[in-house]
Parts: sequence; structure tokens; C-alpha cells
Amino acid sequence: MPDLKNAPEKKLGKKSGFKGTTGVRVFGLALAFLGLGVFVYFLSHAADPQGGSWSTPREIKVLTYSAFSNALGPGPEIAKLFDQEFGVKVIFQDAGDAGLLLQKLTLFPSDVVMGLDQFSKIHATDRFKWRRWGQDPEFTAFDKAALTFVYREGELKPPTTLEDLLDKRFNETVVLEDPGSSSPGLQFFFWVLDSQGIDNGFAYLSNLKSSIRAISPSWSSAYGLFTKKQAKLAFSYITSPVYHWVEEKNSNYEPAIFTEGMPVQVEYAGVPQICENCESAHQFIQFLLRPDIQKIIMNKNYMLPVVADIVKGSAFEKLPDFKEYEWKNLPYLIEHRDELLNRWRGLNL
Amino acid sequence: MNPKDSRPNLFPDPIEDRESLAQKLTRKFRRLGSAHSPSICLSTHLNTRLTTHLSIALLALLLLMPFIILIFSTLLMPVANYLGSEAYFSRTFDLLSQIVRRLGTVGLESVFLFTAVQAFLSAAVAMVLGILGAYGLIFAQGFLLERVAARKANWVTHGLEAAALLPNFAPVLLLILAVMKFLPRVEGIWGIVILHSMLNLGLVAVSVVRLIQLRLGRLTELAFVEGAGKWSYFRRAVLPTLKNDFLSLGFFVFTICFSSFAIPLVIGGSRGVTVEVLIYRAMRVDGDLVSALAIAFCQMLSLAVLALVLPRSTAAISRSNPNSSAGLFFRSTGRHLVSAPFGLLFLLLPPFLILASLFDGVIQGVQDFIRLRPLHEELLSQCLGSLFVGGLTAFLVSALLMALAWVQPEAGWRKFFLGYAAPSSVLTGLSLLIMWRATGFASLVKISIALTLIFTPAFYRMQWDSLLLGLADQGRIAGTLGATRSMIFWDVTMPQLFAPLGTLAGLASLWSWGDFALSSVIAERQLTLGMAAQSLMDSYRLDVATVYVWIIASGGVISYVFFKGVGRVLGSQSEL
Repeated sequence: MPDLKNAPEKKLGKKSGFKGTTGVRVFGLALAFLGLGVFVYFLSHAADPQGGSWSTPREIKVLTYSAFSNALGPGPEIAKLFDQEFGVKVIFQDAGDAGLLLQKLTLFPSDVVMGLDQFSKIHATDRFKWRRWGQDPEFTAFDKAALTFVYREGELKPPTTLEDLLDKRFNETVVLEDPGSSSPGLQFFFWVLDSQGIDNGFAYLSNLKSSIRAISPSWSSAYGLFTKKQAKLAFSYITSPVYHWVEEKNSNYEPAIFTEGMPVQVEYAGVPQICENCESAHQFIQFLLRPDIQKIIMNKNYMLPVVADIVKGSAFEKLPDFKEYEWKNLPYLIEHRDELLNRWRGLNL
Repeated sequence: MNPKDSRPNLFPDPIEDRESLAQKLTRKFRRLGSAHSPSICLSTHLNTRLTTHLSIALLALLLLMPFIILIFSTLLMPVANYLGSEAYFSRTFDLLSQIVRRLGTVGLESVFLFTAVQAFLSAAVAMVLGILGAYGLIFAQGFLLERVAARKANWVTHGLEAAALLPNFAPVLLLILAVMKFLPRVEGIWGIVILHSMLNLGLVAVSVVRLIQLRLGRLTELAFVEGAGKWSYFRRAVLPTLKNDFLSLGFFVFTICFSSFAIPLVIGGSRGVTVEVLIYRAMRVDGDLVSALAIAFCQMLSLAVLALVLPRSTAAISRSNPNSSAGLFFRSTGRHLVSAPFGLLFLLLPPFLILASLFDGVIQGVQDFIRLRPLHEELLSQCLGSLFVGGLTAFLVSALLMALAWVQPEAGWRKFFLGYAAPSSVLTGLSLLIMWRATGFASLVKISIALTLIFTPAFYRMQWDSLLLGLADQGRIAGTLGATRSMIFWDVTMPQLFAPLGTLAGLASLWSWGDFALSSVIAERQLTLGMAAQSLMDSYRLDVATVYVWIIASGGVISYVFFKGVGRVLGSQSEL
């Protein structure tokens, strides 16, 4: 205990203060170091000759869905190869599901947007301006796949038509995606409305309620529920079982083949007008069409390539043949997307 | 025996031995003397008051920053649109009519109703189970005191309390992982209610134990002697006496559940949309910032209404100091009227599920993680991201709490800070996104700032206000003896606040390690371990997610211990 009685007197006005003990000095130094570090970092980034741009000349920002950009997708490998060849760093920005790309672009400007499909491409041109190079289209396809229900052999007899899904054997077995936030979800939603008509389609969806186990916000969430055996059917890509055949050596997973035809989703990439490094962005999109890169996309994204002859000799050759669904009223569906989605939400599925 | 040695208290009471401390302070400041003339005293006093009010106002503005940004951004949106900020706001509109029209289409009333209903059910279930849990705790404490030495009994009972509070203090990610693993079909409103109840019943139980000790100690003994039964005692004594406290506590839980975001986001599904999730959807799914802001306004108003009631509720509980009579109460025979062994089941189920989920599938998870090589490359950067966010959040929270200790809000200002309910994660994230568009490292800083704005009001209400209240007299005494504000702060206040400050900073750091909901609003990619773990859980790679949760829990606990230790060291090293 300090001897306060005999402690030396202190002069008025001079702060007795909190003396700098070792702990305080260390704490103070740590704070000062942290503050200095943050200050130096911001100095180095604030002094940008481009006046506050969001990417440096030697990098491009690519906005895409998480399955493409995460560590398990093809994104990191493609980014590495692009950097090695062109000296331009690729920074992926994660939109979550492909259905959220345009919303994310509003908040996080990017040089390239990857993962738009036939539906979102039209919305993309309404909401944003896109760059063109010569006669090339604004959007370039980089992969595609048909959409269907995936099941495990031995668990149930697969459906062959949309009407089959209303059968009692599918009670509480189906997991779908929310069409508002997921591009496969929107594909299913439009497929039903286009094939059945608007009013009949909504009646069908109401009747489908008993078959639905869950509506997930994203494809990864829905498929994850399915792989964890919380559901017996998941709306996914015809190529999804290939992942199980190759990675898990499990041949139980099969795609259901619908006799009425199945919708095909084509994924596109585009360069928005707000790009900073537009030339590098265009170069990146061209890079995606190279046969070696298409092979990486096929083997890691588990989607079919847009370039011919890549599939030969791969497990994808074992996929069954299918009939592609022919859209009847697609322009109407796209134009009235928002009100149709509001009506979907009213179903409370 | 020194009671302090036997109490591993999360929030050690720094205000010990008040009389001798006051004597020490008196001796010190008397030596310094007070030779100022009255006129100098008065002008100094006025200047100090003005500075104090200005400082408090600045702090209040800082905490209100998300609301201010949202209000100004809504008002300025037409201007920004007119100026052609097309990248951010792509449509022209008339502000008021747009907002009204959007509010009409989003089904706001049904969502508010759902949010209120789930919050009410969560609070009700948490209160019922929490009271049962409190009975279980009292049973355990009495049982142990009868059979083992008091010191051991105290350790075990404090351990039980810590276990009961684990769902509150551990990152919510752990609880969500546990439910996804062991209760996979739980979703929608009942999923949200179950999780909210599991999250809060420990807090309710510990609070109810304190209340019973404080208010019903002697009455319980008397009722036992008179031959009262448990149920009749509860109906005729416990409920009437503690009715207001139960209501206050229930209301406190209600407000937590009302503005909850992470749990409804993950567990709610398509049928469990709360106001927070609606704002998130409007912003991230529909890309409709106008609707997001409009809904955010409505939520701000409802939070303000709730906040008017809040100061009376939590202040009463936070000022309670049960430790003085704890030993007497638990040794009394009367405690049998307020004890029930089965209550321990409810109390310990949530922490048990959390701990079980940490071990379930961890070996498979490690094997899967080793196999998935691409995950390894991102792990280091995500660890550093979490470390940075945890550290910066702890630092910023400490700075704000120290600033609050400096200004010592009183009267109206104190009511404001007690009543101020932090904006929700979505609102805070949205406001920071609007204010600051930079990505990368800046996202980590934004996450830290947002977490600080959310944690600080909660910490102030939880502990800081009662600590400052306890030290106010000492500060006044020092002031009358001639101590300056700086002297009071460094020589009186902070030496006693460093230890609890370290604990709160440690908590902030621990919670920051596990954050994913706010981070997902702000960050453009998976910058932290919390986000990576949530992404894995989202795709049901639960085993690999368990590995990430282990890393989060370890990092968070180490951070907590570090900051708590720094606080203790600074507190013990400071001189009077």
C-alpha cells in the first residue's frame, strides 16, 4: 500500500496524472502503432492518381456467384492463370447467388459481371449500360446446363413430368429455391408458368405445397439440404450428379429426365459501363472461352462448356440425353417478373 | 477467507472497500489543496459544464450515426439521382410518394406483426424456461453448499452460471450450428422462437436468481417455516413481488428478439420474415434501397417507442448487487421453495447442444478440410481478417466507453444513453455502405465500426452505467477537494474501470470473431472466418463448418482472455 501520508507534495496545476507504467506504455504503443498502420494504409490508398477509383490499373474486380468464386469453385484457379499470363490480378466479389448479381452491382461496382442468365441479362440491360467491343454482343456465354430434379437411386421413383411432382409419393421430399433470390429458382418458377399458363401455374404451385420440404434462398443452400438427406429431390443442374460420380465416387445420384423438355440455363459474362479497367475486363472474358479455361470451368463448376469438344473423354459424356424446353411466353414473363414474384410470395410456400 | 478469491466473476466488482478508498482519496486530494478563488471556480465550472455537454452530445451523435446517415441519405437521394450517380441510384422518383407506395406493397404490417409475435413468444418461452432454470440453479447451489466446502461450491455454481450464460456470450454462430446439426427440421416462426429462447433463457435464469436473493430472501425463509408449498409460494409471493421485474426482464428479452437479425436470417426460411430480414431482402435481394430505407424508418420509430420503456427496465436489474447476501440465502432451508432440480435440464440444454455440436463431426470435418486444399489458401487471410476486426472492435469499444466515463452522463443524457437501443445490424451496415463505398481492407474497418456502434449501447446498459454510478460519489468528493477532471478520470475512475473495461473489450472481440450477419451486409466477399463458416453452413457442409467454428471459438476466447488480462494489468498497475 503506498504511503500517502509521507508522499511528497505535488504542486497545484501540475497533473499528477496516470503515470506511464509498463502496461500503459505497452498499451499506448500498441494503440499508436495501430493508428499509424491504419493512417499509412489509408495514405497509400488515398493518394490515388485516378481520383478515388475502386480498383488499381493492375487488377480487375469480377462480380460473380459464390459457387464460382469460392475456394472450391473454378474462380481462384482461373484468377491465378490470368494473373500469370497478363499480370492483372483478379479480385472476386461474392454476390451469393447468381440471382443477386445486379443488386450487388448497385452496391459494389465491378469490371466484370459473371453468372447472368437469359432472364437477368434483360434486366441487366434495363438497369445498367454495358460495354461492347466492335460487333461482339454485350454479353458472352461461358457455360450452360439444363435444369432438372436430382435424386438418389433407390430412394424414390423419379418424376418424368411436372404433374408427377403432385403425387403423394413426393410428400415433403422436394427442395426448391426462392425465385426472388436464386436464378435456378426463377428458372423453375418461369418453367411452371410458361408450360401451364399463368393462372394454372399458380394453382399448380399451390398444389405443390404438400410436396415441398423447403424453399431455400440459394442453390447452395437447397442442394446442401438435399445432400444432407433432408430432402429427396432438389431442383438443380443436370450436371450436379457428375460431382458425386467424380469427387465422391458415388453413382447413386441421378438427374430426372422430363419428357416435356427441361429448361436450359446459359450463363453470361459482361463488362458494365462503369468499369475502371475495361480492356483487362474484356481480355478476361475472352480468356474464359479458351479451351483450357473452359475445361477448368467444366471440371470445377460442374457446368457444360460452350466450346465444342471439351466434354469428350470426361464423365459428362455419361449424362443422359434430354429434350430442351421451348419457351412460349418468355418476354411476357420477364416483363412482368416483379408482379409475378409478388404473387409467388402471396402463396406462402 | 477472502470472498474475492473464490469468485471467478465475469464482471468483478471493482468498487471494493469503499470507505478506506474514500479515506485514501480524501488524504490525497487534501494535500493537493484547493486554492482557487470563487470567481475562478465559477468560470471554470461553467466552462467545464459546457464542454461536458458538448462532449456528451458528440458521443450521442456518434452512436446515432447510422440513423443520421440513413435520414440524410434518404433526403439526399433525389439530389444524388439528379446529379447522375447512376451506379448507385438508377431510378428517378418522387421521394415521399415512392416511399408510401413501397410501404404499401411490401406487406409491412404483416411483417411487423410477425416480428412482434415471434419476439413475444420468444420472450414468453425464455421467461418461463428461465424461471425454471433459476429454480434449477438455486437447487444446485444449495445442494452443493450442503455437501462440499463453500469455496468449491462457489466455483461449481459460478461454472454453472457461466455455462448457462454461454449461449449469450458465445458467438451466435455456435448456437445456429448446434441447431442445424441436432434439430435440422426446425425453421420458420417456431425455429426462431426456439433459438431465441435458448439464447436468452440463461440470462433470464441468472437474473431471476439475483432477484429472488435480493427481494425474497427473508420471505422465503418465513414461508418455509409456515409450511407453504412451492406452487402456492410462487403464485402468492414470487409472482406478486417480482411481477414488475419479470415484466421488465421479459420486455428486455422482447426488444432483443424484436431486432434480432442473424437467427431469423438463417433459420427463418421463406416463412419467417422479420423486419430485419425484410430490410436485408429489400437491400440485397430486390436491390431496392428506397424500400430498404423506408422499412428502416419504420423500424427506427418502433425501436424508439421500445426505448422509451427500456430505461426503467434494465436500470433496476443492473443496479442490483446480490453478492452480499448470497451465502446466507443458499444455506437457508427456505430455498427449497424456490428450487427445482429439473430446472437444470432446461438451463443446461443450450450450452450442452453448443458443446456437443463442437465435437460432433469434427474429425470428419478435419479430414474434409485437409482434402479441400483450396480452403487452406483462404484460411489465413480470413483468420487475419477476424483478428483485425476483433482487435479493432475491442479498441473502438474501449475508446467509446472511456469517453463515456470521461463525460459521466447525468440526468437527461444518462436516460438517453440508457434508453438508446442500437440500430439493427442491417441498418448499421446499410448506413456504412452508403457513407463509405471502399472495399477490401476498408470493409474490415467498416465492420469494426458497425460492431462498435451496436455493442457500445448494450455494454453501457449492461454494466458500464452502474459502474459509473457507483464511482460518481468518489468523483464528486475528489472534485470538492480540488481535483481536476483529468485527475478524477485518471486517478479515481479509470484505475477502478480498467478491469471491467478489459472484460467488455474482450467480449466485444469475442463476439466480433463470430459475426457473420453484419459482415455479410457490408463485405463484398468472405473476408472473415465468421462469413466463411456461415457460407459452409449455408451449403450444409456442417462438418467443415465445425472446424471453422473451432477456430473462431479459440480465437475469440484467446482475444477475450488477452483483453481481460490487459484490463486487469492496467487496473492493478495504476497508482492512486
